Amino acid sequence: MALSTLLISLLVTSVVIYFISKVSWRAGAILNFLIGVFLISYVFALHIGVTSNLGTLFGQKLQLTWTHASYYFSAVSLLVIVSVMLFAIKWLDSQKYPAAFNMFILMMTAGSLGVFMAADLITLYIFWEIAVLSSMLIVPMGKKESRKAAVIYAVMSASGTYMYLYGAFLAFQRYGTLNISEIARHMVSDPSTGIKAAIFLLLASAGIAKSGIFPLHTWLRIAHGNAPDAFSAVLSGQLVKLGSYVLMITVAAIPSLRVFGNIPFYSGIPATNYFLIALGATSIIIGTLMAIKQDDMKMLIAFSSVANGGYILIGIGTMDPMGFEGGVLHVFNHAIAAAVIFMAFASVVYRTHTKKISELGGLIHKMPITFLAYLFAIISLAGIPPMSGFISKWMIYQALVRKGMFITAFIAFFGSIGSFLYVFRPLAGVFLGQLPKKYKDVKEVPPVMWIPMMTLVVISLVIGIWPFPVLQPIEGMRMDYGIAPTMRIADSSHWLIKGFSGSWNPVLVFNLFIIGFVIAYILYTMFPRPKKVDLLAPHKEEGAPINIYTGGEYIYTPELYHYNTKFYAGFERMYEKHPSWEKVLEMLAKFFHDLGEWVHGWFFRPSPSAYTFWVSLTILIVFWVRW
Amino acid sequence: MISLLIAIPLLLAFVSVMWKRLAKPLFFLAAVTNMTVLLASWFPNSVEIHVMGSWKPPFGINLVFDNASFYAALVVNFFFFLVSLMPNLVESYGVSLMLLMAAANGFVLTGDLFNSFVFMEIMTITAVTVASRRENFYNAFKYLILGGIAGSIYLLATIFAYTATGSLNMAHVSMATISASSLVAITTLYAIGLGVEAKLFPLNGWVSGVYGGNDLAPVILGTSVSFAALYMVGRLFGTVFHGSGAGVLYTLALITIIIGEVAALRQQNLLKAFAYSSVAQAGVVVAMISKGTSRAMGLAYFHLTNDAVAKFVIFLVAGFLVYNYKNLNGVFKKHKVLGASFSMATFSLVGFPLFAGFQSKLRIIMELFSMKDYLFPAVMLLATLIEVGYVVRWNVKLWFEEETDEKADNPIVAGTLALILSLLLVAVFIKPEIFLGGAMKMGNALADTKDYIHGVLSVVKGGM
Amino acid sequence: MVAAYKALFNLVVAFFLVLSLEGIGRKITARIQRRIGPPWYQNFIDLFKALSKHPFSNGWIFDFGVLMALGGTMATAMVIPMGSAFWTPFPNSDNFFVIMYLFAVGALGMAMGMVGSGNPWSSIGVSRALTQMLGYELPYLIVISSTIFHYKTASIHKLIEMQRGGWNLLVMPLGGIIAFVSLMGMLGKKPFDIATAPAEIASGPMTELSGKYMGLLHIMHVFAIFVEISLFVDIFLGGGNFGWYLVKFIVVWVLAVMISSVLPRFRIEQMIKFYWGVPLGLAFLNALFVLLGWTL
Repeated sequence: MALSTLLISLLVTSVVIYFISKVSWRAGAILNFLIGVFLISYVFALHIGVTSNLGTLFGQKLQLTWTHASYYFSAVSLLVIVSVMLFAIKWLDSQKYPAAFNMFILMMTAGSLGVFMAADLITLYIFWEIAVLSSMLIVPMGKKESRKAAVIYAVMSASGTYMYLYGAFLAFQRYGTLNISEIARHMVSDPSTGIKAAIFLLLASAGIAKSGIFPLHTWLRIAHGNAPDAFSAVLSGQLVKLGSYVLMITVAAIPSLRVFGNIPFYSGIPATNYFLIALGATSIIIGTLMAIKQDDMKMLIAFSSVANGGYILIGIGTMDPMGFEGGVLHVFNHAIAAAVIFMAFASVVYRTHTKKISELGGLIHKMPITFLAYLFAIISLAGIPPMSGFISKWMIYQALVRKGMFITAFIAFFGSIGSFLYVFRPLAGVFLGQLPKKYKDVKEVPPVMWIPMMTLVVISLVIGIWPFPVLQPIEGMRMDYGIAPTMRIADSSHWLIKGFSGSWNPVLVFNLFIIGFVIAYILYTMFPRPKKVDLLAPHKEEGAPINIYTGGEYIYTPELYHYNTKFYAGFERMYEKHPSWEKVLEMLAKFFHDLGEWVHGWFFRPSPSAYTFWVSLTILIVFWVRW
Repeated sequence: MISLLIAIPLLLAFVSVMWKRLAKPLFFLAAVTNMTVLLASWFPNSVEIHVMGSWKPPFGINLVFDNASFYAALVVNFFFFLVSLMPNLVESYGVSLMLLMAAANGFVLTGDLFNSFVFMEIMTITAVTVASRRENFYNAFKYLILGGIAGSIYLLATIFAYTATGSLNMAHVSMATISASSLVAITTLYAIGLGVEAKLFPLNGWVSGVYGGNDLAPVILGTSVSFAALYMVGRLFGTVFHGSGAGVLYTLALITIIIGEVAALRQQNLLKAFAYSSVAQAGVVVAMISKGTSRAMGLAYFHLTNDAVAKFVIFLVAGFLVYNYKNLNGVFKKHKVLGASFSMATFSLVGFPLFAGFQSKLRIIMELFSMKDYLFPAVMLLATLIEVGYVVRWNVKLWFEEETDEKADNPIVAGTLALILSLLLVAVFIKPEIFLGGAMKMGNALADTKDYIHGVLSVVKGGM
Repeated sequence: MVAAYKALFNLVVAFFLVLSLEGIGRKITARIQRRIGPPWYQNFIDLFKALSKHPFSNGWIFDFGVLMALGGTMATAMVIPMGSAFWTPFPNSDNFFVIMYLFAVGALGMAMGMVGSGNPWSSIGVSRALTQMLGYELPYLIVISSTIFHYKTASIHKLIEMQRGGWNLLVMPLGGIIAFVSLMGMLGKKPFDIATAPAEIASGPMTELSGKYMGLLHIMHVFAIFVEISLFVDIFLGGGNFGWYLVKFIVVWVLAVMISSVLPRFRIEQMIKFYWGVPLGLAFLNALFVLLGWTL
């Protein structure tokens, strides 16, 4: 099946799925899942270099090609989407609009795949808008705030998209082509730095808006935080990666090092790339600091997505072989981790109907599998071995240190240690500690919901131990873009990942971890067996003995003996009076509203006599100008 | 045969004055006949004229039938036809609508400046009666005043043109060499005179009141009549005055775009919000016309056609909602078909892919870039951004907010029409030639002054 | 196979060395405060006493957390080079960042297990410990980054070899001092013992520990100290053969103990402000010197 046929039939199928779902939404969801599985197998079977025509628009051929990048990004996307589709088979029974959800998620899949396959800027734009539009229609299916979220999401995304469009046409006007590789070829030989930089930044802005990079990051909090719970997994795990893809196209497919070789800023990195890196670094700071203080667990991870988008951008922006591979690999890691985390949260909300950390606690004994999924996901998100999240962070650090970018490195370190802080908050507040009485009958979610989470966790773990299947396409991508094509980073024959400053062996690290664990377990069993005691046991009758230290006091409301509000109060106090970019953007929105009010008051409200005045004034002004 | 387009509705209007109850079926009859006449004379591909009496041009009054006026008449009559399919919308306005139809057709077809003034006056007055439906008197009154002023300025421009060239025939005027200073006066006055109907800033104060005041006015005034008015902008500034005064139009149009979108953003009333949006779209069209090339004008009318179809659906659905529900939250849950059509139409308005608006917006931007105009695309994209804001806000509100218990019957005819038209928008995305072919022919005809003059002044054909 | 023996030897050395040093540290503190203090082997006695008692467990996550903490820290201790390339068990994987992040596994395990005990005092302690990490790690990582940038390698045993010409402490004295200040925070020595703070929050994370849990976490702490000080000795003091390595290790430890025994405790935000003030500034200054090539 040609690529174009695939995409068009997916779009058509999505409408069919709607009508099937109207009869039985579960049948629609299962069909969706099967289609997703088919797509995965299709994607893995495709050969690199396949092209297909979509038609002509404005005398320009619209083309799809299958590259290493399309393969990698499509596979990652599908992994996330298919998991959520499986998850949704059960989860959708808590939703109001299952049929529309099924339709739009498939439509969004088609759109995303189209973006990754697009060979020219307009095809990319078309599928981009399809993905944005269909995802934007899923967002307001959530709770009340999600309506506003959809609008903010749409506007923010559109502001990036339209800048991109302007850039695309600017390039078209100058180089007479929309094909990405053609544009790249022309840009290398174009002498005008100003225009090149304008095209570069305009194209990048779509990616900036979509992947939640400062200054267009504010929609992530509200959209990811309020979207239907399982869909947040797609938003954060997959849709945001469309932005990373566009950023990668602008920075790497257009060889920014050669195009902007005449404006080096620091350590051989052009000023344009450095500008993006600075934006990425700002995003890390904002994302991390804001995530640390959120009480809403979904918003917390939404801000973490801002920070991780920053890592990806920094990695790719350096155009260093290590940095590039690290950034691209981070796409995979963050996609998987964020998807699992959001699915775990969706499971929690599915059972408890709240997403406030301060209202939860002690769910570990009720939902142990969800807990484990969350635990492994955050280990990956925080970049701790043996999960795959570590590998990408290690690569990005290698690049930053090699280039001597200490301030950026500092911010990256800050974000990484900050991530320990914020991922631990839901762990402690939601899963550990005291269980509130009202949740004493909460059960683990059914297997249909935990299987996708655990599958992704296992994939992330396996890739953390044996990363070469993922690193291979990334190396292929790097060769395609001609970034240090002689250098090999993944050395699978020696089980090594080689950096500029030494190597490491992920299999060995994992084995050490296992050995350490085994020794610890042996030690553990050598000594007297413990007596199992309950926690404060709130669901037991009153007056039951207290098993933990309370300073000698009797605790009557155990759920209050649980530290989950303002977890890092000591640290949060230090920046509670921070300036808010969200407020700045709100002011901008208000400005347009007020402008509308003003225009309305002056030109559209007045009486007929005032109109007559305006007409005469216009005549006078026009005459005055033209004479 | 072309004069039938004017004569039939005019005749039937007089007939129906006598038999009031027949107004509705007669209106339908007029619309059907006009559509039949137009379909029978599909794209003339040459300039045909129909003289009134046996005065050869440049003397006397003549109707000009070329690709441009054919396409404009087709669009104009198409929407009248659609309206005539909905008897409960027409109600007692059959006579007015028929007169409006006659006037709009005359306005489009005429080749005479003074005659166009007459038709414009009739159009304004009948439009005012349509606008006064549902006791929307004050806004109709404002419209009347503004239309009156516009008419007198239009007349003044015509007089100036006559003084300068000694002729009222458009073809003849376009041949004449006019001194620079009179040309400035003439074009400026025409810009202002047409600006009211073409919704140019700051002459568009009537739009929100009229379109927002009832459910019939926006459906017909926002589609047919505004197409006719914008056609005249192209005819005068493209064909007759060879782009003189285009700078004024361009500037005013750009301001109109921004002002319209900004005003739409703050609007809390569904009909009014999209009324302002049609102001902005008219700005896009006028700015594009002011570019003067045949491609630009063709794209302008392509965009206008898409916009008119989308607006028809939007106003139809919005009118139904506003007059049947107090609280619009979540109403589309009860009217899925209306909702789907409304959403598709609004998305087309924004220019999302999969809908017609995408084709025209992107082509326009591309054309502008190839003309090395960097400002207009930026304005247009900024406007689109604001559009995204309110379009999504309205869609989310109408689909997803908590609904109330109010109930209304599903309007079957309106729903079907809305659905068909919104599917048409999808079809145009897939195959833009549906509208684009005609619109490009129209653009060519408007830009080709030589052919126009030749056609009008040398060939005599037909006659009453 | 040799590597495995070396790794196990690491663990053995770490266990006996650090446990004895802890006892010696108690003695030194006591002497500075004009007390007599316990004998140097007191910590062995404490440890075995704790391990032999019947404990209480607060659920499987509590057990799992302790295992993860101990396992993760031991895994890290096994990678650490002890002063020279010969005593480097895994020369291909002794990358600094690998060690740092592997080390985090233990910290995470401990934090998780202790919060799993359901005691809010543990949670407060963990919250403090994580915040403290944000404090000391940043200057430390900047200093190490500039070191790596300077020597063009992140491999610890290669860094040791590079220091043949002169200790890194002398090449970039600023960096060395900052790293030592950070080391104090890592060790949780006064004034940075905010996370445990026995008198304030009932020993923080350790509140619920009883019997062998206390013992196992004590062992984990022992390995943690081994990793932290070894890194300092290797990266800044040039390592050296096994004997010299031990001497340097002991000196660093004694110095840390002596400094901590005369200082009071910071509050948590004071600690952050301290680390993000002068030490961070100097760390950047050091990085700037390295970039400009102004090293001694």
